[in-house]
Amino acid sequence: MTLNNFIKILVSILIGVYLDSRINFYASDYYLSFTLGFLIFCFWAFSLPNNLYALSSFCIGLIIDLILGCPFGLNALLLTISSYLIHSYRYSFRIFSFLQITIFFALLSSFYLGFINLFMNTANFSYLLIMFSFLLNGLTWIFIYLLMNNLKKRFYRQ
Amino acid sequence: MARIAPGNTPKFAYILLVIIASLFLYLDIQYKTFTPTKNLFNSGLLTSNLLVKSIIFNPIGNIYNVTRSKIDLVNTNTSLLNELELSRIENFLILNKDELFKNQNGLLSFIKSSSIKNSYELAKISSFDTNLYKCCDSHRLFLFNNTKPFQNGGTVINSQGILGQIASSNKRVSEVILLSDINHSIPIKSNEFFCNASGTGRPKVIECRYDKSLWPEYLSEGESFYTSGLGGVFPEGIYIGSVTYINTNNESEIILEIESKADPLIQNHVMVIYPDDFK
Repeated sequence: MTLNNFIKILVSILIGVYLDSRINFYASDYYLSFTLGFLIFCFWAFSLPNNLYALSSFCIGLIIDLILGCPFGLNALLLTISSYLIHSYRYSFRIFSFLQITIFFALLSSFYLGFINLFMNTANFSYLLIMFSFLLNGLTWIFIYLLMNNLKKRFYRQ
Repeated sequence: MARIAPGNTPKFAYILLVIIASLFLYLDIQYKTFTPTKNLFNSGLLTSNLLVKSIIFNPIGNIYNVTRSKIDLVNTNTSLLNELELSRIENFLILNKDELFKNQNGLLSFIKSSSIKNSYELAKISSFDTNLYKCCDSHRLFLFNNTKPFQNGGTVINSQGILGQIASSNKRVSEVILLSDINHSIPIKSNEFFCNASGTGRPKVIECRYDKSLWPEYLSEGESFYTSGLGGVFPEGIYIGSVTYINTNNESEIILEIESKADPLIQNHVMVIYPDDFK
């Protein structure tokens, strides 16, 4: 992957992370939490399986950790593991329906959210938030998939 | 039935990076190894943010204001707003002067005294992650330093009451740990009842846990709590908030949930005060 493409991917993920922090301020009152940044990362790992490997995922995770002020290494760990899962299933995705893929990524984002909450919100860990966010992130994945596909065709050059 | 096709994902790199990331995570949580790095990054981000604002966005905004001949009005308005915020904080100090400055002759003599520079400072909030404040256990905000960094342990107040205390400082910014942060604890009292209230990780909510057998008297909802002054960090007698919920589910332990009066979201300016015996 070229540096130019890496920067494009990173910028799109950071925009997602920024929107997350803006929207979740209001959404958390209703036991909802968006993971737009993570879903955008998943989209890139899913649509460019030969480009976004372990090291890129790790670096993106570290940058997100620095920006968000999370425990250092948390996002790096979760993004690397997610990237591994997505890469392991990349051939299986070809025989999955879009609904199955959506459920897969909604589950993955719920695990991501669960782990983030496990480290950063131990005292008020809420299963309700994880459940609701599973549905929400499933719907968001559809939106992200359509939007990012469009943007990828327009801006991303191999 | 379709079989899962074999992949050629390189496992070694993933395993290595997962181990490194776990190590980072462990070191950061256990020993806070990366806190200076994060603070440095934060202050760099803030500085660049300010530079970009002052070099690019403010001039563009000013051009708009100049064309409308309103720039003076906007500046006056901004300074008046700032003055208003500061006077609100000062009003709070005046109203609570008996409690805050018990051992001196009122606020005026306190302000005139030579120790003023060390005991009373106004500060502007540089950044506050409101998303983190609402979602997570860690409730921190950052203040721009004045001429020098704020001293650790200084009490941070706004016009509504105590927000928290200075936790750490670097050259540019100081970190404030809020009362509701899960790692924060403040000694409080209500009449004869004393306890250490710890943060719950929920906005504005702190809680007191005590053994029912040690304090049999009944405390009711709406009961007011004040700082007890024990520990020497927070001044004595400042109103903290009132009891909103009493959890008696546990047979041996009672949990009082107290909603703090001070809301960190309402103002951009705060005041840092140091108790009389602050070293």
